[in-house]
Amino acid sequence: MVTKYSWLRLVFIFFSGIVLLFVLAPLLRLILAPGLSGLIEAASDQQVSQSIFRTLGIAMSTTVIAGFITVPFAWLMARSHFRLKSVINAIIDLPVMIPHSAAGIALLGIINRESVLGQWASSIGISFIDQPAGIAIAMAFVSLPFLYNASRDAFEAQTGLYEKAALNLGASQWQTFYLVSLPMAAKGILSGYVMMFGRAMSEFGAIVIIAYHPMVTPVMIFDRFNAFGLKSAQGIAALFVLISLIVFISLRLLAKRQSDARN
Amino acid sequence: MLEIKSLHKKLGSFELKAIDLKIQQGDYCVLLGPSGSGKTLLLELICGFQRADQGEIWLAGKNVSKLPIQQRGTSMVFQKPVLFPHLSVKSNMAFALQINKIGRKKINNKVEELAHQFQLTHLLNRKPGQLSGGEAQRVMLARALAAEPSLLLLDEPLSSLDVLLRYDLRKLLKELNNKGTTILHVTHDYEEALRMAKTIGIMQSGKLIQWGGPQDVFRNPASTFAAELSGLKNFFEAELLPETANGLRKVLVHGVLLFTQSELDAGLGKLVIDENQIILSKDMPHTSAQNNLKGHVKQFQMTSYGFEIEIDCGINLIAYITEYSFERLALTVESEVYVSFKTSAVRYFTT
Repeated sequence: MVTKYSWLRLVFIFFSGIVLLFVLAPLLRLILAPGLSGLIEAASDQQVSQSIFRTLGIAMSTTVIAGFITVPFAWLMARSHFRLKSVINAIIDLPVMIPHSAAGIALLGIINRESVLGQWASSIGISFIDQPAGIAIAMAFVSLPFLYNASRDAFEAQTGLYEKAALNLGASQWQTFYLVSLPMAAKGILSGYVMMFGRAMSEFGAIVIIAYHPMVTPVMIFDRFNAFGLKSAQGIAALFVLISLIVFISLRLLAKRQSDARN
Repeated sequence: MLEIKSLHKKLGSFELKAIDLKIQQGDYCVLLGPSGSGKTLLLELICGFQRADQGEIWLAGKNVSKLPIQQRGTSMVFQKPVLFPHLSVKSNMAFALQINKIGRKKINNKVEELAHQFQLTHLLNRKPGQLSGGEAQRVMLARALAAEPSLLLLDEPLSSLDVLLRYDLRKLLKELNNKGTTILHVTHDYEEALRMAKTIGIMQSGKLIQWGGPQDVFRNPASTFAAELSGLKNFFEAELLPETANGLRKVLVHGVLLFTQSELDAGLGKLVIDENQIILSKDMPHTSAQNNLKGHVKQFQMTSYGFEIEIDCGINLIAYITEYSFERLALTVESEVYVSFKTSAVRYFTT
């Protein structure tokens, strides 16, 4: 039991302060540096605002589409028991572990115009290189593990008994999934979606290799920094961080309200 | 109603072997066995969570062995309440009805009727997380019955409840059965079996070793195991002797000679003396009972129905007497006492 004024508590509070400061200080500095005028200036730059909308739009579509197939996969893995299960789980985690530039190179290897997939896609009029489709693929690759892990954990947390109970009450397997398993795991899945969306919209490394243009905001920040220096990049970066914060806080609140309403 | 024909199922190292049983419409059947005896697996096979390797399951005149869970017409109540936490009590109860696309009005009527029957009306809008253990188990039962099953399966439904709630739920289950619901109830608690069952099955390591009315099963345990499970107190290793005396058989229990009635061959076996049929007296009794032994009280303890007395008369015997008898005999530890019981209270069997 930790008493209120123990040394342990004081030392830990000190450490906590350092960690918080370490995260907050650069972000606060970033947001405060350009000032209100800098933010307005960045926002009124049409290239900047377009890139922000593009980033949010592609990240949102990627999350929704990739999520649609990832959640069933997570359920299947949560309910299956086989020897190579942990290997598959580790494979899904790989995109988080490897450098994102390496992830971009890896993806480029299979979606370039000479590859089988690239050729097939171009035959039906889809191109990945320097296209929104390529950006979406890069985003999905690096962000998918977050949704997968959160959903799988949520499904694993329910015992299979609830599904048995639903089947026993006459529900089909599909009904059992969307009436019982899915709503019961909703909290975890929603928070997985928020994490995936956040990771997707902030991706730089993999995207810059596949699609420098059209520019998503993280690439634009890098581009402006290279071309015009710190001051110019700071305004866009600050604006993007602010927008991310607003998006995240709203999504978190929405997810919380959804799960509160359910439970 | 339910008929199981030589059902086999291997699951890992465990094996359910050649189960045969028949349950009549309106029966209350209790399967009694320790954990790991295969009771729950048998329930899972009946309701379709597991598929049998061999054998057939017939329910209401239909072979359901290969039917999916949804088409078997059984409802299961689990050991712990498995209520859908995101749905209200009402929606939980209406689950099966909504799946079957029954009209809203009919659903409401049915839910209200069940809520009334199970005293859940005031809880209908709550979430399962806000219910007590007993309430949750009542909702489980109501939800299972809303599906109008032909057979209600209960997997130790009382074991997670405290004594008072158990009593209430037992009453409820009996009422349901009296109204015609056929019930198959699994437990490891022999008292529960004794209280509830019209038919009892005893399971041991994947086999159904005895089947019959509670009287038969507990009075005439088919094996050592069944006797131990039933909590019989006077249970001994014994040797049935070949000679007879006045048409009775002599049986030797740790050097003490007793009389019994048996058609079995002489040899080693087990012996049960019904603790409720043992008579104690201070003086040598002159009764028709053939077994009369002299001993002394080793210890006694009070129970809910009187006193349980342990007497050393060459063998240690347990006898149950009322509080009145206990006082009348003025028993204390080391009191000298005569024990007598009829040959019919002594049952010899081989395992």
